[in-house]
Amino acid sequence: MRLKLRGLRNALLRGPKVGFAVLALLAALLVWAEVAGSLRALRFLGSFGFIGLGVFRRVLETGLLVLSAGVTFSAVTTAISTLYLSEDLNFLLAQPVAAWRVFALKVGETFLAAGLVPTLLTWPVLYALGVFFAAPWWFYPLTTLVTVLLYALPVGLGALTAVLLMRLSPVSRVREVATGLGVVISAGLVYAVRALHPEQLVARAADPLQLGGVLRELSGGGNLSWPHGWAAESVWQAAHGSLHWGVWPLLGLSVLLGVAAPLLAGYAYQAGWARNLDSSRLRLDPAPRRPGAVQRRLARLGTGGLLAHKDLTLTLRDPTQWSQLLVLVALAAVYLVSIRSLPLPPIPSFRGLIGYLQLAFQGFVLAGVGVRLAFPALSTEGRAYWLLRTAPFTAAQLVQAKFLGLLPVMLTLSLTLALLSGLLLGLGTVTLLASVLIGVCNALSLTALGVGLGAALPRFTADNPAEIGFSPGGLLYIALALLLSLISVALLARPVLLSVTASQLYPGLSAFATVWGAGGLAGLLALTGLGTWGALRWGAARLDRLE
Amino acid sequence: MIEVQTFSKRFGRHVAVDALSFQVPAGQLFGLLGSNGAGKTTTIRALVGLTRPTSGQVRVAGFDVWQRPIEAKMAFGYIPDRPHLYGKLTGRETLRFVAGLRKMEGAEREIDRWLEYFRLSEFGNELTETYSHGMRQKLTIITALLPRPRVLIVDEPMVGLDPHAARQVRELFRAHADAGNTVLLTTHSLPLAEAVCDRLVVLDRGKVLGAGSMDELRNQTGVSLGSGGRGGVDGDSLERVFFRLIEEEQASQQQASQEQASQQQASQETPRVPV
Repeated sequence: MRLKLRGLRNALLRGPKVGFAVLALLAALLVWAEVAGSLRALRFLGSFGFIGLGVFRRVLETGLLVLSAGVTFSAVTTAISTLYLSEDLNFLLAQPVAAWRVFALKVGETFLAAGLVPTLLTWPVLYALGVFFAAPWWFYPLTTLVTVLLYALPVGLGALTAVLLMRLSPVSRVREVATGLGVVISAGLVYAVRALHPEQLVARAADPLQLGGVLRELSGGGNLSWPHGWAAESVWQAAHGSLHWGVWPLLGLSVLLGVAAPLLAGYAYQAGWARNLDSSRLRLDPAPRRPGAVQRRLARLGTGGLLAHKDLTLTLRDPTQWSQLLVLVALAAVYLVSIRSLPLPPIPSFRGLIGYLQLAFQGFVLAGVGVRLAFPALSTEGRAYWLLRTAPFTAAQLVQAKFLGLLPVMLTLSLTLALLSGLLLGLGTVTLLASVLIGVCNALSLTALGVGLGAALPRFTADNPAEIGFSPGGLLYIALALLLSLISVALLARPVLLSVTASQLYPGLSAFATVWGAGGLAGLLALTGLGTWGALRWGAARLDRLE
Repeated sequence: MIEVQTFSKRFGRHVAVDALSFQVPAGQLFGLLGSNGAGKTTTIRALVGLTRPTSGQVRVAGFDVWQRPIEAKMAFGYIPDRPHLYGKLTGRETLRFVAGLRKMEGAEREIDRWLEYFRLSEFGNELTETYSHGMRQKLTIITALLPRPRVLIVDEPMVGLDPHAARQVRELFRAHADAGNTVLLTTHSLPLAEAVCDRLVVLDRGKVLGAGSMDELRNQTGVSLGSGGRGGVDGDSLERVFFRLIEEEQASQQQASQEQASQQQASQETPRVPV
């Protein structure tokens, strides 16, 4: 542990000071926004009495469910990476230290990798809750502990699952099995979020006959069958000065899993897993396998085609990479299902406006996908990057090839979301056209921004592509991508508003012929052109200077 | 074919290489020797475009690596000290990818030939993540030699190779130079350098301690056949020459620091003249 802490200290002392300062500033802003936002929401909802506070309580419970499910999703693959594939494991196990202690450290590392960010995101909200209710002093340590325990639980579970997988599944397939498990958990998360039916709650609250039932549900206790319910209830009761029993099963389970995981991992390791690691079966075949039709066709496109084929092959063969595509599909599916379930009144102008404003959320989905696909595009070259760096083409060609390789995926997703959501909501011609235009522009600029920023701030030493997006560069990408997509939506807002609210005055596509329409279109084109070109150029220049 | 002119590289205040100059003409095998941290790998990395010179110029086949990188990179093949490859590509796919990047014609036949040469034919369809270190090193050597480069730049080539492969590689480098190409290699293996290199540069902490052919280095250090040495290193071997150069450098540094210390002491003891 001391060795690890010393390593962290050295990394902080010798790392880029400006980068750390920017990161600290971003973190401080985020904490401030969380605390201020939570307090404001509590004051606002508090003005509606117990109903409003009940809503906050449900939101808190849902948030804890989503975050703990997210930790569970990543815990299995993270546990395999840290428990068995860490580079320092051989060194640590060769030292005169008990194996269970080494694996206890590794379980701790798994928690830091999978659960630290959700923990840090949760604390400010819960502390704000304590401040709002003027909670007793013990609320704060208890809340701190409950949050850690809540996220330690899936980490312990993930570590145990990793141990079981290592013993049961073929070693060469363990990552695939782990990814499959992650997909099942992801599907469960989608189901759980959808099972809450938030839109039905809104619809029922709008119905005077059902309002009484809603109020009873909101004022009653939460769901105490699952750990997130225990945690939410413990925090809520502690904020009001009483200790809830939910904290005890949370503590008991976490400690049990936290103790069991390193002990079993140590046993599994000693029982011969390490020996199996080196004995993957080869099917040696001296007959040369010639390039397939796809490879031959892509090779005719030159360097870009070669790179695209190489990236495609690597992605399809590496579960840690293709699982990112599954996340993409899951995100799009959740979004479209939620859009279809939106309870909107049958007023065309209202539907048109809501339909247009949801484009901002599409930008959010696209940014979520971009941070997993476009941003790591260069970093996934890993330590083999020297092969490209010493090859006869420029950094600009490399960045362009990555951009062109990813654009079809991002464009397909963006247009699918724009068109399907538009059709599901029954949008008018102008709004639908604006959606498609913004979809195309977002795909171009967000892909270029991801590839450009990823090229400017690459992480060639990351073990897992999933962790690349959680770097300071990844967070910067999300912030900039959201800003870009919001500006795009704002640029075409006026013509859409005119066509929706004054359709008689602006029939057909005539809203685009107004000064606002033409200006908006020109602005969108300029923003996309400059954003795409600028991001790629900047990324290539930075990559060229990289040593 | 390789020109390094007053090349210097600094990392912050640390000087990794200080005003290094040498030339390697076509048909010559040139060795860059030195202890750990001498600046060998930094020089190699500057030559292949992985690190930018702080000052000076590096040219390959007449092209400045940083001014005209495409032409320079078309001319050289590079073997790094650590064979990092794409683990999820097979050996054959890796070689096909490299051949494509360098726009090679008739690559398939050459790939088969090279895999056969290094006894890797059976493993050609396997992912490189299943390869041993030595097999990956062999594949990396093939990636460099496959396009028949006019200049071959090699950083520690023998790490992880079995004795048979090590001999093959030694013969390959010699044959490549004899065919009119240029080979620059860094190595810790003094017997290897002595066996294959036409000329040598010995570096220490970024400075050149000695340069020339084996005979020139022997003359420079005064090492001759039959003279005694420490640690069982006798005769006029490169090992002896190398240690003599290092010892001379250490002695001169020690002398310099002693002189500096005595000067400081003298200045402290000099009585101040009252004004």
